[in-house]
Amino acid sequence: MLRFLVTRLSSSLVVFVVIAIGLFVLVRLAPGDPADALVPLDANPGDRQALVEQARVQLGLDKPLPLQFVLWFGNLVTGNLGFSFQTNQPVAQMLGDRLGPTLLLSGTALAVGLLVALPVGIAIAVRRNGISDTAVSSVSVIALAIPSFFSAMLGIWIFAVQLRVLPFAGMNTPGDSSPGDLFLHLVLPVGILALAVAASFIRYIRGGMLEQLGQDYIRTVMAKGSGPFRATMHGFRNSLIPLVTVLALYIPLYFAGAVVVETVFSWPGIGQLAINALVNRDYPVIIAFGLYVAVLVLVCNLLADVAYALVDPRVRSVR
Amino acid sequence: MTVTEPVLSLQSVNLELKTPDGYVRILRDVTFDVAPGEIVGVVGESGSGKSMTALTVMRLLPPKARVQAARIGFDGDDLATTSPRALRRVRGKRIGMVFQDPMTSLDPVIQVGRQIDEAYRIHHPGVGRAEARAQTVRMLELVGVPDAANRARQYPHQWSGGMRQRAVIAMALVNDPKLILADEPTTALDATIQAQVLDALARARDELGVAVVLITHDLGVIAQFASRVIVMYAGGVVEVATTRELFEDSRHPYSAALIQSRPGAHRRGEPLVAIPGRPPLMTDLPEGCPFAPRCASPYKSAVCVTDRPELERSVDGRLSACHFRDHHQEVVA
Repeated sequence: MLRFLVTRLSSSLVVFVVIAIGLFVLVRLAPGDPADALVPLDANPGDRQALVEQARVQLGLDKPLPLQFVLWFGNLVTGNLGFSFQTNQPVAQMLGDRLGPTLLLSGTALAVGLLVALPVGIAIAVRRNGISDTAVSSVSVIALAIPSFFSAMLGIWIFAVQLRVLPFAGMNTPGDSSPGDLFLHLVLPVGILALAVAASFIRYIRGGMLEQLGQDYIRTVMAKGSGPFRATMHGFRNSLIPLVTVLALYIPLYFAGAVVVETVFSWPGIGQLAINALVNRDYPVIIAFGLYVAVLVLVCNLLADVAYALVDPRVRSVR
Repeated sequence: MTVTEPVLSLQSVNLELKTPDGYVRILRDVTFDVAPGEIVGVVGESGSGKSMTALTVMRLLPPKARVQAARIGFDGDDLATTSPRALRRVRGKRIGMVFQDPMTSLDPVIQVGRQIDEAYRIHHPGVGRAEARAQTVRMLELVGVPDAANRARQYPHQWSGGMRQRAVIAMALVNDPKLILADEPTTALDATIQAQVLDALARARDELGVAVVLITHDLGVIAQFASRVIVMYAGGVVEVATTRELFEDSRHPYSAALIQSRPGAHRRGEPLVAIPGRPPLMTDLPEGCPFAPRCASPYKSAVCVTDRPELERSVDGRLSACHFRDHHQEVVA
């Protein structure tokens, strides 16, 4: 297991460096000039050219590309992600400020969605093709088909505008930083995200369970004299194997920031930061965001491999 | 000779399964007895209802299956009228079951020993892990698993097919049942392993006195291990005989044809003998004897096509579902 971890970690590192180079090059290749974007358009046309050149030197963009990369990568390994072209703030700090809200929002949504999806998915698989199965499956398709900006606005309209029971913007009411206030602000965005999570996971769990419940070993368990509950648990234990894969794909997706929901609810998360940086060609922030996603994906894949070994003894003995 | 009460007694067991085209009758008036401690073979082609008979006794049937039976007598109870809850206390405790494919009949993510422990603990609620494991190891040793205590901590994929089937047999035996239903227990195993696994089953019978219903399509297995044989065709029993009677003086042309089509029965250099045609579809059974279209008996006559023969005694007491059960049956070449 230890050997496995060391090999996997080192290959992850190589992948990370390759992604870093790729990101750096890709962003430089993108059309548009960040130095130009930094200087106000209404500046005196005569001075403007000089101002743009000055900005270019300030940002270090006048140096040859390989040199820019070496400087940037040297900073990266020492934990310095550079400074935002836009705000001049350290990028690491900007990212750090946004990380907490995103992890809180997406983490809670994933947890809530899974907590709903697990029992419901298992229950409808056991009663396949029954009324509950048909009803839940239809609702989950509908929930998946509704775009989140629509369900978000519908939620705001019902709970914030009509019923006036929930806030709909930001993380807390200005001047009130109590956990209760934070909780109220979480309800709507978490609810919208969790709905989508639950809708897709109910389908994955149902499908996985149906596959397992048809296996021969379930019949063996029944032949031992066990009840349906025990047989279902055997099936569930086995259905975890494909579920780990799906989860490893979903976690980076959500922790990279739920862009739409964060935007609708003015949630100060990473998704919003990334969108702003993209619109303003804020290279250091774009690159840092890309690296953050890369790390997320690599870490989740690593965790998924460890989780496979935990849930499937066949994987364990191969290594 | 004292008459012993049979451990299992099927009387007119009928089974219908739901298909997209409606209900189809799978078993038709299946009737036979199994005496305590005996090994009874059940033979027949694929689709003859052998496995379904076993699954009907255990009531491990697909949803919406319909069972109608005069009686499924087992050890003093009638399983045909037993509630599903009470049946759970029969399954695995008083009747053990061994399935065909040991590669798929064990849960792949649970240690082999734990799966056997589970079978024991389901029926012994107060018992601790250690005691269950001791029983598990005893059973694994009985069926010939070497180093049982250590191997019990391994997972199914670490066991060979033959060893896994021993584990399934140990699981079926762990609660000291009266009866084992073995559904083609060696079909998925290669020939050298087959004999070892069947020996393990026979040893269990000798030491624990458990009766075994051995479902197979291999007459060689029957000849070697079973004392009596039930021959099934198209969902019904066509002949019940001792193994010797069946091989020397079969009273149903289907039994005779089966015996003659054994690979061991043909002469070197000649083609293998096969029964012409195929078993009838259960949705489309002929009006008379279901075997009539394929029958090669010299006695075959018009009555075979018009009247369905029931399983009845011949003049000399043999059980056969052939109009000509009083005659020795042989296939005319």
